[in-house]
Amino acid sequence: MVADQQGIGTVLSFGTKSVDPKILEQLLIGRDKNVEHLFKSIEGIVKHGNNQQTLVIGQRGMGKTHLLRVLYDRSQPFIKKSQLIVAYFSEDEYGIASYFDFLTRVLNAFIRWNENDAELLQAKLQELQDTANAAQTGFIEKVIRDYIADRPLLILAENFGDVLESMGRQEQGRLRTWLYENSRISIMATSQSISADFESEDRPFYGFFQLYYLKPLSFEDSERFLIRLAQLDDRSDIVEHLRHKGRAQVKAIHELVKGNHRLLVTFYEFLKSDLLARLSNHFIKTINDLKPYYETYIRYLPPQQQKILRYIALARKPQQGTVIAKNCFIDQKSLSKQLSELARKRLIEVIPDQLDKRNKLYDINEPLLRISIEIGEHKEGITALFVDFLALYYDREELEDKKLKYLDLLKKCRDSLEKRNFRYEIEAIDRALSLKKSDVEWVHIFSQVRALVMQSQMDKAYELLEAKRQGLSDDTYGFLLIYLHGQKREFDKIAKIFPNISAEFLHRLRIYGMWGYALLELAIERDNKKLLRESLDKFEKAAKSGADDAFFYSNWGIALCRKATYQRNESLYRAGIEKLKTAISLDDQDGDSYIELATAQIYCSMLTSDRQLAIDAFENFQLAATREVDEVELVFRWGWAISFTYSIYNRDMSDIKILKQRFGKLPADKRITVWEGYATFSNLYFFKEFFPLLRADITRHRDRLKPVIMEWVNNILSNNLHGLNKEGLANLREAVVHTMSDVPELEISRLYIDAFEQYVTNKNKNAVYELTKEQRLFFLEHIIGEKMEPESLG
Amino acid sequence: MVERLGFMDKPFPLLPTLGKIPVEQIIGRDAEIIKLLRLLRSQSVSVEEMRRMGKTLLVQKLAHLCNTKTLPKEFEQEDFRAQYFSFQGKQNFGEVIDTLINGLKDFKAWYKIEFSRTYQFIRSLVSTPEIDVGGAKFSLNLPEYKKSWKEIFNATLEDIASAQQKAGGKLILIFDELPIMLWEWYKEGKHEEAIEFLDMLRERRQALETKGIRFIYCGSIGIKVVLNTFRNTFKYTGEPTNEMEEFDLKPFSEKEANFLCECFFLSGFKAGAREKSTCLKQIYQLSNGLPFYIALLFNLIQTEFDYKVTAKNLKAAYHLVLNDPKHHKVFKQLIDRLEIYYSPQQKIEMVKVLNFLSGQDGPISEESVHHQVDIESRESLNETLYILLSDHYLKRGIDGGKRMYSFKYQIFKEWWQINRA
Repeated sequence: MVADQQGIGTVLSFGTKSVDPKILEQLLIGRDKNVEHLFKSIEGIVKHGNNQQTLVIGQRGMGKTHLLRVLYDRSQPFIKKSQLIVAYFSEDEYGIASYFDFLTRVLNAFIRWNENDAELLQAKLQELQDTANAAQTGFIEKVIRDYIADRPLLILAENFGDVLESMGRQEQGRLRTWLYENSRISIMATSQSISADFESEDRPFYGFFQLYYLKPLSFEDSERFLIRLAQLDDRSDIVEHLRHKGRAQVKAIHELVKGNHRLLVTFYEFLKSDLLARLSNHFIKTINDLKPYYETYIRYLPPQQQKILRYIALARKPQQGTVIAKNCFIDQKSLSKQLSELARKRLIEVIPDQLDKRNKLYDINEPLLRISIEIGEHKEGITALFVDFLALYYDREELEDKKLKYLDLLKKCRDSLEKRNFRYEIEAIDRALSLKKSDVEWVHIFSQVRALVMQSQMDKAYELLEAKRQGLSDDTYGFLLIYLHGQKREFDKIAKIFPNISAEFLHRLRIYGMWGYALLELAIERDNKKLLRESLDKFEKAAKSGADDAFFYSNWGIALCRKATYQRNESLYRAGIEKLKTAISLDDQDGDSYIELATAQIYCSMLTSDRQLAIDAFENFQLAATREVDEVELVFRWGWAISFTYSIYNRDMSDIKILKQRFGKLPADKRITVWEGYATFSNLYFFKEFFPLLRADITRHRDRLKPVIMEWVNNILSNNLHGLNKEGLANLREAVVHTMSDVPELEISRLYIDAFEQYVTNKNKNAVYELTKEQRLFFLEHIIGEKMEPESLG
Repeated sequence: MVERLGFMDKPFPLLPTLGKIPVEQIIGRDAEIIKLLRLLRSQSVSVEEMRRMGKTLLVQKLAHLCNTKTLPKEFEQEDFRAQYFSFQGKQNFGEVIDTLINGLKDFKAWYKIEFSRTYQFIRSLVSTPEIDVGGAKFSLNLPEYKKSWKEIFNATLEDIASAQQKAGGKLILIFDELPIMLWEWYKEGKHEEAIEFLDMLRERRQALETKGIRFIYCGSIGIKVVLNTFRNTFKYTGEPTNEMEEFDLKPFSEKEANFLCECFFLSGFKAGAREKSTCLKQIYQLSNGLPFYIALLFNLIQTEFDYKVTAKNLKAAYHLVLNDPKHHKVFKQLIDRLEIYYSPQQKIEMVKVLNFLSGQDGPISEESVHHQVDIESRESLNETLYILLSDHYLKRGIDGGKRMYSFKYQIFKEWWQINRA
């Protein structure tokens, strides 16, 4: 069969495969180099005896079908001379479910495109149908092998990703085997994206193809393409318009369709219209024409992906994952998977969040896809999408000019329906004008400031901000300043700026959480309850304005637990714990949230004697240990929790072993920091467990650890007035004596231990007189403590 | 110096490609083929490497050289012949037998014999006198023959071996993608069939070897991975690859890499006369001599840099390979393998070791790895290192009596460091 070859009209209705190849050659604008490159590969197959396995990747409408059609046509001389045999699959080869199906499509393609052999092959196909099922694959392999004989075979196939997906892994394996068992088969295929079938190690076609990405047309190419369409359409008036006055519109269309061939064809129709006609009608008509095309994007997606796409489209600006999850009622884990699938299909774009680099934002990849979804939602009234389009399509002067024209028409108009239509146009233009005044500028400045911060050029970043201050509103200037101060952790400065920012701005940018965080840091640093209260107030406001990322929840949880500690309040602890758990559910890899959660659980457990909370806490320390964490914080808090709970819960201390291993991996300076923290603990068991490690470190860092061990011994004594028996004291004494060779000053600690034994355990109060006066005062004041009632010794 | 085998005297025009290439155009591997044949004189061999390293092309070239009688003189006496079978996608034992029996037609041509035992046996199962087992119209992959598959398999191999023994020489049966086929069977719950097949292979292999048959098992996942899984999951105790020599596929020598590049140059790449030799060295160094990555670099040079091979463009292409998500998918196997073939715990430890080693300048002693990587038990660490070594992630050397580890290929290390660590 040879395709019926049609003219430009068919291009305009997307029927590339049946367009006259000469027209397709003329429309190769922006794709000429691609064709040259790919045709060179075909020449390599024919002239040099090479094989070529190429996968051309490009979105819908990027000209893939066009390319293959041109390549097929250019290969005709080779085919005619029997130097090459081509199996040119049709564009929509649906239903290839197996390797056998694939082979039948090869045979069908031979029949379709080779009139001379069609009869013979048809007979073979008949024979195949009469063959027993189990032997059919072997038979068709032989038919193809015999037919191609010594000629190299080139398979031209579209949507190959879909073909592989419907075949499944096992059948793909058979296809690969066939390709390896036959020496001269090449595939030149197209796909909209790279699927797991091409990139996963356990798939047969992993790394099999050379990837060849089609790029969107440049503005110049788009312009040339539209002019060429007009020439082929015999519309010299449009050619003229495009070359001069219409350039700006080409630019707007180019931006809107992102250099997509097929959409340029559609918008060519838009350009053809009388430019004085009512824009809205024509716009709606064009978009409606596009709708069926875009519906195919969405129709075959799984429902969850459809839901996400629809949500992002209607939101009309990039959205955070957590917001999407909440609005689409999808749990975070499934959402990540679906978002990455959508990104892989290039339906959405993943954008780093400029305000928080750990976050990502998601937007619709193609503006027209969003518009097409949106048009389904707004049947009447001025649609936001039309306003968008106007703003893109015309510059401010043109819009103002158009507005004047419509005002003029309105004045002269007598018909009430017409009048209403003109008002509609005018209102749309007004809105488009106001859109143009939006504050996109500051985001640009923010990007520049951030780039300097990334290069550690803080001074320059401040300078840039000051230089640009004139062009910024007070809110945006304040916000950028906060961003810079935040880099230097200057929370006091930040706390002073926030009150001057308008509530609307804080709400719109959802930055109440940042304010709360700054106040929390200050509250912790200054141990200030008032700041803590203010911080909590901001977190609540943040929640109301829609903040819902992990960082926000984590800080809110910390603030609540801090307040709970001040007030010894169980319900505050529980609320804080819930917030921390939410933070973890949003970002399971943040080890620091696990540490905070575990700490809160220990505190709450001690307050309420809820043993289960402590068990959960230790599990959370272990989970933190498998994630990215502040190592010192982890080792210190974990140790604190063990030491703190030891005397309360008689639990299995198996995690002390894990903790010791973790400790052992810390570098020296960090270990010293942790020792300083541990020295504040009073649990003798914990001391005994860690003493061998401490002893070894003392040998290497004597001066820095000398005060640590002395303080630790004092703390153990002073906090265990009722809990140290003779054996415990003997252990402590032994450790001290053992270390005296490196730290002779521990002689004093030994004296305190002796005195403690006499004074507290043996109730011999005269024992203090064995100490010198200074030692005695220290002992009584700091170890025995003033709180100790003499009668309690009795 | 290694004798250049067969047909590769002069470079020929070759466009970069990554998939299957015609057997006459498979470049290099001469030293490996000679080494393989020397091993095959006395035993069967297992060839294992990661994907895209050129295993299939190596064994296909070996088969081609054997069957076209273009081997060096030293192998005259062995009179090697080879038959290539790919087992990828074979879903059961019946399909494996079909594949083997379909291959019989080549043996018939070589040895001018009929396969009486096989035919006889099959005739006893199928009541038709016109059976054509080497042709295309008959399949044993039918449920009614299932109970006899084992006998058919044995009879077929026996026939091949007897014909082979009569003819003298050595016949190499190449079972490509055998491990992946067994793995797929295992994933589909057909492990009993897989284990039975392995046992049968072991049992027959030793007997057949005495008659001049040699086997090459070839696969991107090591047969060891499959066996370990069977051992751990099903208490499998067989040693089906015992006494088989493991063959390690090396990167191209600089000479082979240059030959490949010269072929690419003939297909339209441009390089200044002065700069060319520097570029060749650079390509060899950047690609670590791995032909897949040489082709990848040239592919990028043609699509992104207009066929101009310069030091700058090569550097930029290499940067794209490592950093551009569109292009560095080929390295994804380094992660995929850990997830697919190993337990979550093993994977965690392997990732820890790889993260650590990717940040080191040179080989690191086992002792240092132990001290600096958060893996609790020494035994577990040693096991992890061993797996990474045998799965070709790492290489091992001895320095001052200490075992030293580093990434096997620099390009893998750099990718890991940039994208994973």
